[in-house]
Amino acid sequence: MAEIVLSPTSAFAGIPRGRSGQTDGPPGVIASERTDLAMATIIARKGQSAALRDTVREIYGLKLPIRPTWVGNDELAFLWSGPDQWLALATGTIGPLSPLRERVGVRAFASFEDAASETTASKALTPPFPTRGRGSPAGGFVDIETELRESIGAFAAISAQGDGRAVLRLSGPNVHDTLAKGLPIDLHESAFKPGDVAITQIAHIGVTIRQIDSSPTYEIILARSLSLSFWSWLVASSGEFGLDFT
Amino acid sequence: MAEQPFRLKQTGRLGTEKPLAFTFDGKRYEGMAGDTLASALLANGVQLVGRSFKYHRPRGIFSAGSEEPNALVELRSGARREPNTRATMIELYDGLDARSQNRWPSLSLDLLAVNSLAAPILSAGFYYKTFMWPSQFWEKVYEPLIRRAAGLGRAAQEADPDHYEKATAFCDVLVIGAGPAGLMAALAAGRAGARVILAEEDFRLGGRLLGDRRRLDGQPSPQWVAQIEAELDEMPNVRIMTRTTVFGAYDGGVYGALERVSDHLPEPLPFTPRQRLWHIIARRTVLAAGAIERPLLFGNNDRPGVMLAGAVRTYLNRHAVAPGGRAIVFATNDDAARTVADLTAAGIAVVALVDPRPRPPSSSIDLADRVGAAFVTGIISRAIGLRQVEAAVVETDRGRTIVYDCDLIAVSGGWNPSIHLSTHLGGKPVWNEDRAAFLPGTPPPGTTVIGAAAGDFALRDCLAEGARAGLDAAEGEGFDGDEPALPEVDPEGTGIGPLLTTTAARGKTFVDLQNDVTVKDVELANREGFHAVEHLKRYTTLGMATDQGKTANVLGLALMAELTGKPIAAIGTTTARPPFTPVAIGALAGHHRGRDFRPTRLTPSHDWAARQGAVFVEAGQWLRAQYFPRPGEADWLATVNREVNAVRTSVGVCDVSTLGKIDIQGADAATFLDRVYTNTFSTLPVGKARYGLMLREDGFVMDDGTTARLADDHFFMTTTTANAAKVMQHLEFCHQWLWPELDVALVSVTEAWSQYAVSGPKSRDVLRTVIDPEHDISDAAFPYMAAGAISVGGIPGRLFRLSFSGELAYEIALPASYGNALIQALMEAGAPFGIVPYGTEALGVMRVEKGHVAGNELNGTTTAHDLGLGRMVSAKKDFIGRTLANRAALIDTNRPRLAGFRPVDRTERLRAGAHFIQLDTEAVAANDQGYMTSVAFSPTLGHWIGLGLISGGEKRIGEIVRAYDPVRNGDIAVEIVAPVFVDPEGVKLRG
Amino acid sequence: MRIPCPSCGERGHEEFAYLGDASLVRPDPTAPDAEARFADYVYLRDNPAGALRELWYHAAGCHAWLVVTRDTRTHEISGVEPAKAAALRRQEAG
Repeated sequence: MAEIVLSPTSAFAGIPRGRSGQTDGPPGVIASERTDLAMATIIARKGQSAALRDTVREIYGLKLPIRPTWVGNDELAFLWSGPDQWLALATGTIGPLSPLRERVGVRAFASFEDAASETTASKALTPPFPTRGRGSPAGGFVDIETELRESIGAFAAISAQGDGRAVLRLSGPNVHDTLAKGLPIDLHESAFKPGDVAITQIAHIGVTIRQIDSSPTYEIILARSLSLSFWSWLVASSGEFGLDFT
Repeated sequence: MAEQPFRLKQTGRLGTEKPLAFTFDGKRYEGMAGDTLASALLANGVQLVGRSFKYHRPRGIFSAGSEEPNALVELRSGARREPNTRATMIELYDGLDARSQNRWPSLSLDLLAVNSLAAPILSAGFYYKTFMWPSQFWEKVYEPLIRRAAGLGRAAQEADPDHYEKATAFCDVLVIGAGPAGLMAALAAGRAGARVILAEEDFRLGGRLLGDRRRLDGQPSPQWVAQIEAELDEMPNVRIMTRTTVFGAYDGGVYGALERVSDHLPEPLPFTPRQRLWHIIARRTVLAAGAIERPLLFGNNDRPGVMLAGAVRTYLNRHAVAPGGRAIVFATNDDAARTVADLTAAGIAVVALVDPRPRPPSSSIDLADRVGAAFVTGIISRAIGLRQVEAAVVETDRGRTIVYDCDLIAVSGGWNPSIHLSTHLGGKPVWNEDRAAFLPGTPPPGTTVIGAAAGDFALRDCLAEGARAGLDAAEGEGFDGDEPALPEVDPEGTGIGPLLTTTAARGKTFVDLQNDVTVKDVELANREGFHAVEHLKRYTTLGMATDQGKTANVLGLALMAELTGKPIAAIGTTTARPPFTPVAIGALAGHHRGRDFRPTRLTPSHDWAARQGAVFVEAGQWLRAQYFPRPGEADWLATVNREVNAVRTSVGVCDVSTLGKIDIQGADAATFLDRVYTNTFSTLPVGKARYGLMLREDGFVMDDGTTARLADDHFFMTTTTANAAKVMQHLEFCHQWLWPELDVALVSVTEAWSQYAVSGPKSRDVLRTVIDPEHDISDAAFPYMAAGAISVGGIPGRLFRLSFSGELAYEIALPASYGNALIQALMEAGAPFGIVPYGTEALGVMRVEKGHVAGNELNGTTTAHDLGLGRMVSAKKDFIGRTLANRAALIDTNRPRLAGFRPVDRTERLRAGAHFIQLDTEAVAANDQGYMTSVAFSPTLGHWIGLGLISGGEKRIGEIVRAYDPVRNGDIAVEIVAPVFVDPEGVKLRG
Repeated sequence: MRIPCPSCGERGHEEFAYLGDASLVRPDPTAPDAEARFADYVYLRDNPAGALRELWYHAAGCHAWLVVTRDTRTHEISGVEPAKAAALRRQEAG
């Protein structure tokens, strides 16, 4: 039998790109899917919370948040996801050995909590890693789970989340009007800022939302199996403003 | 098209003069932009707009707001037909089409008006008295008759073509009502910098300032309103929501509001909802909802042409419409002077001002004098006229009777402050004798009630309270500001007489126009002992239906107070509950209808399965492939038989990604599992999986599944599809609350893995070609119940040797995004073996053949012993449910316990749900011995088989009992057998 | 009703699942009258009018179990703490 090469299918792969809803004028909401992401849940072991935070700071130059915020950049980010619990989000589903610590690169948002005091790795941003099949030139494969287990496993339980969550970036002039139709939390700039995270639900679908920048851009992270139901809500809710899926 | 004979030229305040065409009962009319349907009908001289609920009496327009009890019409047609819309709330649009309702064959000739003649039997409580016997007549005869004769409008037959949505808004200060008090409150809070939401039911801001001719700082009131509105509009921190009714107050500063986004349009613009349901979350609330005028009691007080005085002024001043040509004003308060003045200014003759107060203000008397109206100290006892008021009969305090010709009777019996929202959380209204009104008792936390809603009816007070309350609310949230300067206002009389109940009324005198409740009905309720307000309401229907008694309730209470000789304060009032005005079910559902009724979860192989023609079935939120029909197969059973046979003889693949998956790690993970499962997991070797059973603390089975040990301190648990969230919540409870000392980390990883069961004698052969060669999956290296890491095409995954089918079988898992590729790789690799995809139906057949319990047996009423799983209940350790599972009644072997069943006549079909009864005993509940939980046609055995719970269970193997199924006329003899039908020794799965 | 989750901030009650009285303690299974105690623990509830410490689960949020002090008459919430912290304290107190 021929060598098996598996290609990934992203959560929103079946959704046609382009405009939906109102098509006059510029779109009110712009959506894009983030693909090739690897995720893992980090849960501090009993009594190891402080040691874990110290170690992450030492290795990745990032301070694990103790309230609903996130740190990092597009290459590697840690999102608060509950007491003593974080979601690590890294670009590149499966990549050859490439320490995540080198991916932090230049911090995107200097205004974030403690960002100014954090040192950042000097290496330039690494491009996303394409999925490789058997026979890839790289020697051996690691995933985020393995890397994190090696770096901080003494202080935390690491659970692979694979690419089990769909991730959408949302921006545009009507992003607040649209999100208000499902999101039950306050996104006003006095209540929610770049760097903030909230775990809640939209249209009965559990989501994690984080603010990326003040334009504002948001990222919605949800269970992959619910991506089509979420999309149905998003299309209906953004229809009057026009949605561009890029 | 008719001209508008009652449109006033001189006082028009409509925004534009744009004419709009509309039809009512098929006749074409013209109105103006800014009209309501009510004002447009009045402009065309249409007074008669509907027939009443019970007696089919002719009814006209009574108010100018959401309290309207009479003018309910059917709006639009076809799928958008909407009954019981209030003509006073419908904004006119070009092409509007409305019809009167509750009349047959036509509005002016209503044959059902004979109900009026039957009035003696239609009095309060008539349902209870008249239609008592025989009881079976109620559904078949009485109710349909009553429904045809009485009732409101007709709902559309088709599905609503429009969409609705829900939204959430947050603010520091919510101001409810944009009359003078609310405008000042919003201005004060907005200037201070607070985030303000100003919600107004009307499509324009201003409240009474639109309906009355007032001057503020020397400007006509609408101009002053426009100026404030312009300033509020400029403030980025203020959101003005018109056409938005705040209908409910809930705990924690949560308010429900309905925005009528598109109701003023023929149909919604593309991509725009008809209505939007808001959850407004407010730190503070200023309730400035105004007050609703009270009618007065006199005979025929329901005739078209009898109208609330404030509504008369609204039609005159706001809509430039004369609601009549010759008016009489009957009022208990100083405000009547304003009505007289406005009517006169509009050129409408006022024949008399009737005021029952023994000492009326001289200003009223003087005014009447000036405009040539008679001033009468007395009452109106009766209106004359059938489809329209033609005259009013006045009784003076000196015993004289005078009949005045008129076509309009403007009435005002004082005001009921709109305190509804202040009572939704249980605040009891308090009767205030001076203002003859119920005032807010204890409003919800963070809420201030101001202006007319607080019983302060004078404009100056409304403005001052608004400025104060708005600033207070903002300051309470940490903002600083100054109270806005108050405008100068013209002087006004504010005297209000006591609530008037004693009447010399003759003829039908209505308390509640919408429900046709008369004074006599209230008297009857009193005579029959229904004194309490809640009894009065239910016995007479006073205060029910769409208007919830906004104009009627207090009058009814006052009558009862008088009849029982108690003060109104002692009588109290009924409890107002949300919603303040009707809310469509569509708005409450929002996006969640049809396919979006609830979220649907799809597995990674869904699109692939759909392309194979799979039929899907709901399993919790998931859609799972149920079976994969092929051309030429007669029915689903043929398909399922083929799928089962393929698995039993070769190989099949089934998506099992929907199983709940929980990652459990930590030094105490094994201890934790020992405490939540009935059986022991601390002894499980790394690289092995074990079936586990979980109980609730009451001793009944909660869930089952397999858990694999991936490392010393790392387990991977699976749960049933349906119970995944419940189990996660239970485990979190155990971890966080019962045993916080344990070092355990729990997280759901359900979504991370795409997982397939590959089952059948050829399953290993298929997997061997798919799994990368460095992984040894031979029976020796990877025996039954093994678990380990593998990779496919370099993608790391997991393999478990588990079997639900009883065959040699595996479950293979890869990251979710590779699920689509993996199913295709498995199918390709299995092609030489004739691999088939199989669905939940074949899965179910094979598990019944193997006697595995599933959802039908794990139904919350069964114990481990009931299910034949007693051997899994450890006696050596404590675990959740252990103590209560050992209660004597629960281990009684005569409880219904799991057994297998087969028909004595093998050609018979079994039915799940059939009850077991001993042969030769009567089919009555007392003889019930249990029931069939699951059935399947076994292609392996060639006949139907079943699992069921029967008293005594496996003790009775060999016995024959009846399977009695009265719902489907089934009554067959079945034999009790062991619950494992195929390969009871488990030879195949270890192959 | 709005519940102030100590981690997530104030959220609508629809994000939470309710369990009930937080004063109940899982009985000692080795006690001679364990069965009677467990029956009380599982089935018997007081229904106080006033402040009640009760367990809620932030199901749609951070998955923390919380001890919420709520007035059963007014729904006023006067205190919230993570159940885990309260449970550890309970254990320390013996």
